[in-house]
Parts: sequence; C-alpha cells; structure tokens
Amino acid sequence: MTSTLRPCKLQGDRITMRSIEVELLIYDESTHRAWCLNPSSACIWQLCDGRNTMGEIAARAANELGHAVNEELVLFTLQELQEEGLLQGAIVEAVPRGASRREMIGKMGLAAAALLPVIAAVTAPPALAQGGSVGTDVRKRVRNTPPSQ
Amino acid sequence: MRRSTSTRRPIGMRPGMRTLLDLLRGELKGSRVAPDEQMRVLDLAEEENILPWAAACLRAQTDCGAPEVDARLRAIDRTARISAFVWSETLRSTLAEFHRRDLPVISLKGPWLAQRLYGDAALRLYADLDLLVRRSDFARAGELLSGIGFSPAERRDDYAQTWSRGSIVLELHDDVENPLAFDFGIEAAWERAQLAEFGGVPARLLAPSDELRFLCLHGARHRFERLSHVLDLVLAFRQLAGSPPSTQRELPRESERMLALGCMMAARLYPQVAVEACYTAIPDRGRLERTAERLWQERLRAPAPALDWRAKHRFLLSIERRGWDRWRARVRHLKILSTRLITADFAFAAHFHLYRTWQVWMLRPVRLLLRACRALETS
Repeated sequence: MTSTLRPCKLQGDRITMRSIEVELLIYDESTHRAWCLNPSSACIWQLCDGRNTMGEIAARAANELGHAVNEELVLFTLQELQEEGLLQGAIVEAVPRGASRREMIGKMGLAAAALLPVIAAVTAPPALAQGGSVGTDVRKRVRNTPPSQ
Repeated sequence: MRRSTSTRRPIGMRPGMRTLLDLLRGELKGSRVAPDEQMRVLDLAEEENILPWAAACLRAQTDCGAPEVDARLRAIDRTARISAFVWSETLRSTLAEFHRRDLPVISLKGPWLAQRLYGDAALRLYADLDLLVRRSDFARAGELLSGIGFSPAERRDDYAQTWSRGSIVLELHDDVENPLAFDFGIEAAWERAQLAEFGGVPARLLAPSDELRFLCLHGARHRFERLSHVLDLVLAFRQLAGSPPSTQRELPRESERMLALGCMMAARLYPQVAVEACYTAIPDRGRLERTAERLWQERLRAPAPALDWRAKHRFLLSIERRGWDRWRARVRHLKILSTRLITADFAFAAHFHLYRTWQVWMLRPVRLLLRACRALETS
C-alpha cells in the first residue's frame, strides 16, 4: 500500500530554501516557521514531488546519499516531515505507524544511524536587553529517542 | 614575516583583547596565533557581540589548524547562517506585507544593514528587527503586524512599540529617539530615504549619511557598550568613503557632536578610517576626544556594565557642549522624565498593591518627595 504513495512537499512562492553545507533550511512564509533538515531528510523531502513513489524515492535517495535507503526509512522520514507540516496533505495517514527511532537504529545498525532524519524547528534567538545578541537556539525535535541518547 | 601575538597584552587589557583588535584591523595576516589564544579571542568576540565577524576574520587571517578551533569556527558559522536565515526571511516577509498594503517602511539595522555593511547577513548578530514608519501610519502598521501574528508588548516606549511573534522581536518605530532627547529630524530623513530591494521586496533605507548618524546615535545610546556598536560604525564609515562625493557632502551638520563621537570611536578601532573631516571644526572637541578615549579604555579593560535609563540620559547630556547647549538639553531631558512613568514608579506603586496607570501617576509625586527627603538626609 505504501509503495503507491506519491508524497508531495510544501512548495510555492511562500516557501524559501537555503542550503548551508549539507543541511537544508526551509522557511514557510504562511506559517512563519523555519526548519533545518539534515542531509537524508533534505534529500527525501526534495524527492517528494508528487510523482515519485516511495520505492522511487528510496532508490533515488540511495543514489544521492551513497547509502542503502529502504522504504521503511523513507516512510519514517515522511512521518517526521508530515508532523512538522512539511508535506502537502495527509500522506502517511493511511499507512500504519512506522518503527520508532530506536527500532530503526536496531534494524539498520549504528553505522546507518546518520541516515535517520533530523528535522529541527528553528527559532530566532531570544532578544537580550540593550541590543545584545546571542546565537541561534535550534530546538531539535528528535522523537522516540531514548533518554540515554 | 610571521609573528606570535599570544603573549602581547598591555596591562589592564582583557585577555585576548590585543589579538582581537589586531584581528579586526586585519593585522594578523600570516601570523601564528596559539589555539588557546584563538579560543580566548572567540570568547571575547562573543562577549562583544561580534562573534561571526571575528570568526570569519580568524579563518581568513590565521592558520586555524587546531581541531578544537576548527570545530568551534564551523559551529559558529552554522549557527550564524541559521540565525541569519530566520531573521532575513522574517524581515523579507514582513516588508512584503508592508509593500502589499502600500505602507512606506524603513528597515533600520537588522539583516539588511548586515548585508550591505558586512557583505553577508550571517556576519552580524541580531536581537530584534527595527522598522520605522511615519507617525501617521503607526496605527495602520500595528494592525498589519497583528494581522501577521505579532502581539504588542503592554507598554510602549517614547518612540517605539515592541511586538513579538514566538521568539521574533520586532520594534516598530515612529522615530529613532525621543525628539526631546535627540532631535534626529525624522521628517527630513524620510525625504532623503532611498528606495531599494531586500530579497526582491521593495522597501526604504535611510540615506547613507542618515544611516551613519543613526548608528552613531545608537552607539551613543548604548554608551558603546559593545565592540559591535563600534564595528557597525567602522563599516558604515568605510562604505560612505566609497560612495560618490555627492553622497559624502550629505553628511549632516545638525548632529555633529554625535557624529563626531562616533567618528572618534570608529577611528580607535580602525585608525585607517578617514573621518577627521567630520569633526575638525566642532567646538569643544578636546572634551569629546577625552570622552571617546575613556569609553574606549573602558571597553578594552572590562565588559560593559548594564545601563539604566539614568545612565543613558546622563551620557547623552555629557556629549552636549558645556554651557547653554547642555542646559537646554538638560531641560529637555527633565521634560521627558516629568511626562513619563518609569520602572521605579511602578515598583513604588506596587508596594501599595496599586497597578493601574492613573494610580501610579498619583503616587509619583510621593515617591519623588520621599526620594528628595532621603537625598537631603544623606547630604
């Protein structure tokens, strides 16, 4: 069932993207939200053009990332992207909840843990008094992560 | 010729300050700087709000081979780029909304200034966005901001209202300072403002000469408490020096003392800035030079203490020329203080569980009387 899904990312004039080294920054003007995507989630998100199926996304992502990417990892990433509101429509609603992050690491091995998606909602730093400034507070949103990690 | 800078530190200067100054002046090219000195410089740059710029200079001028330094520089760059992206996109989308509603707006400081002066929005830090609108448009601009999710702060300043949306803070100005404290001549500045584009969105900028004056005023309001205030000025002066002569002639004379102080501070950080023309003719120049030197030495020796409104007013008064000018300024400042409530008024009223503005106003004379009595007693 999942193999026929053709997920579609948020797009249009109100979406701005910028790459910083291997990460991708996205700003949605309609919700005023920003995200920072790690290479694997950025790659999968960009392949969600409404035409590629899950299988095709997995194959192309594997090609681009130089690592084996299976449909399960794609589904896991899509769930994360959808929760952050980075996909159009409820793509992953119809499919059963995928594995947790811990289960994914168990299945794929620690070496492939770097492929797991990291989608960070980016916020501006809190303002200091008297025009002071600080660095960025990047609130990492990594679900299903055991406390020890 | 390679030289080591790790041991050169005049007495009284903060550790790393000499190297930081050399770095900002571009004098470290080809130098060997010890990794722990590089880390000290970055700590200091962080304290002085110039971390991304200092990190970029360090990368460009020295050998950053030490892994811990390299890792820190990468982290600084990444954080600054993410931060600049959020601030820039917020500014762009907000300016686009003003443009859609046909509401003239001037962007002060922020990512646009960084893009023009620093060459990249990620090389400067931000605490908020500052937008200037005409006084007659202030209410409309407030409605616009409400419409795009901003909420106003409870109290407004003399010339600005703070708005926030999540962690984004935006100051909506109808002037750049209380006209009684410093008359910027905002109407004339609007006349001179230039139309430009930020990320494809049309908006206005202060004319270069007004921007310079504004940065001088901004630095003075903060008593040049961070090197970031001085660095902004150095880069603004450099930009003005590269402008066509017609632009340079626009340097205003009405705020010459504020401008002169800014020039003097900029020249201390970057002696190559050709700014003498801005202040050779001003009267009582020696005293202003001494003020600049004192501020500069304070900056080199210790981090700036937090300033309250009283210190700010006192400093603005001290810049004024002695005699009639300063008396006139003092009267204007008293006028401001007599017509507004300050934190101390609210705190005093809170002792009696009174919080309404009119109640605070009623209690204000009592507070001032008690304060005067205490002062008499002490003397």
